[in-house]
Amino acid sequence: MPNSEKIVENLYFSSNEDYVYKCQMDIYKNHVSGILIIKKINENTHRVALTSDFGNKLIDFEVSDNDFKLNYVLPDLDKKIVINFLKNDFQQLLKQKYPVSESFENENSKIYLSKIDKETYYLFFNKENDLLKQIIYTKNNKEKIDFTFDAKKHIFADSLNLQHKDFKINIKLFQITETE
Amino acid sequence: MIKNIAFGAFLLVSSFFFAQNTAMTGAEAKAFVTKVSSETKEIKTLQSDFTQTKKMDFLDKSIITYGKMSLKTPNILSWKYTKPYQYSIVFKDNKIFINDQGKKSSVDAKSKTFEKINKLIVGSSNGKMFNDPEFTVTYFKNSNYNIAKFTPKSTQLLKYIKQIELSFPKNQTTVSQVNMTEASGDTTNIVFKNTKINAPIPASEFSL
Repeated sequence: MPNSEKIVENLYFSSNEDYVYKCQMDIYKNHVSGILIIKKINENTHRVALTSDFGNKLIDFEVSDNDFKLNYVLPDLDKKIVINFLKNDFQQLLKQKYPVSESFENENSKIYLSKIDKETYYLFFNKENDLLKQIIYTKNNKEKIDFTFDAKKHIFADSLNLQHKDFKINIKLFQITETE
Repeated sequence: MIKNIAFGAFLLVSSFFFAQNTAMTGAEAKAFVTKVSSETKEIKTLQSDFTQTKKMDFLDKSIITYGKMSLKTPNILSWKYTKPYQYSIVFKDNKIFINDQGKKSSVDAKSKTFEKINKLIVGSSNGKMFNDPEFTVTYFKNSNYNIAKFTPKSTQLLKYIKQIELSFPKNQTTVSQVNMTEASGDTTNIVFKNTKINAPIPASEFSL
């Protein structure tokens, strides 16, 4: 009975600890480098902050499935299109619970399909270690964003790659554990 | 009488907590600026290790990064993070060269943020930052340090930074600590260690 789950979860940002990542964003021809911090501040909400490598804050917001609150944005980045992309991307990335509509499996993965309104998600879990490897987010049957994770435990991803399929936007995160 | 003693005791106690820094007099500030400016004129190269600590109110822990800074006057600067990740930036010939974990790029030195960083670091090594028209500078001292506090004059710049504080050890004319406070109240602290003045720097340090 490997695929009997009713709900599957992305637990990579579910702990209340600070999640700290080195971040590389490519938004069309612009390369943004910095440190990304993600922290779950209550049951439904995450706080997300990006600083430059020099430490100054670039953007800081709170996001949940249905809400978004901008705490700060550097004047240079204060563009609706940038903020909307980040809002949408992190809403998807930090979404925890996915009701299962169908499930399949292939050689390496258990695959769960989750339909929420017009949006469909495919979640790939590694058969060997049960860790979430990939989420493909589709809307109106078009592949929109592809999230790929590398992890050793289910509540923490060592690295992740977020790739937009219809825009030249890519976000890469690498864990940095050097905190005090 | 009792009141005065109580007040005196209050002053004494509060001085432990608050009064470490006292404002310099006009003459002291002038002497300090003159000394730093004249001694830093002798600086041809500067190398230092640094530890950067970022604090944000919603985080349990501070974010700490380590690296190495090299400066060759008048305006070649290398700023390298070595731990926990590799990120290097070199300011040279009005260009900025970046190596982001192996991903190399270069841009013209027009980015506001980079320009400010460069100006601040180079400026603090040659004493020119005390005359920067964009900032109001106030001077303080305590038993170990002379401190210069920079506050932006324009509301535009205040959106980026509320205050920059440079600490100079009493017997030293180079900065040993930088404290930056952002508009949001978050702080970044950079402590310089193993500072070497006028030691040769291999050219490779400034190429990525």
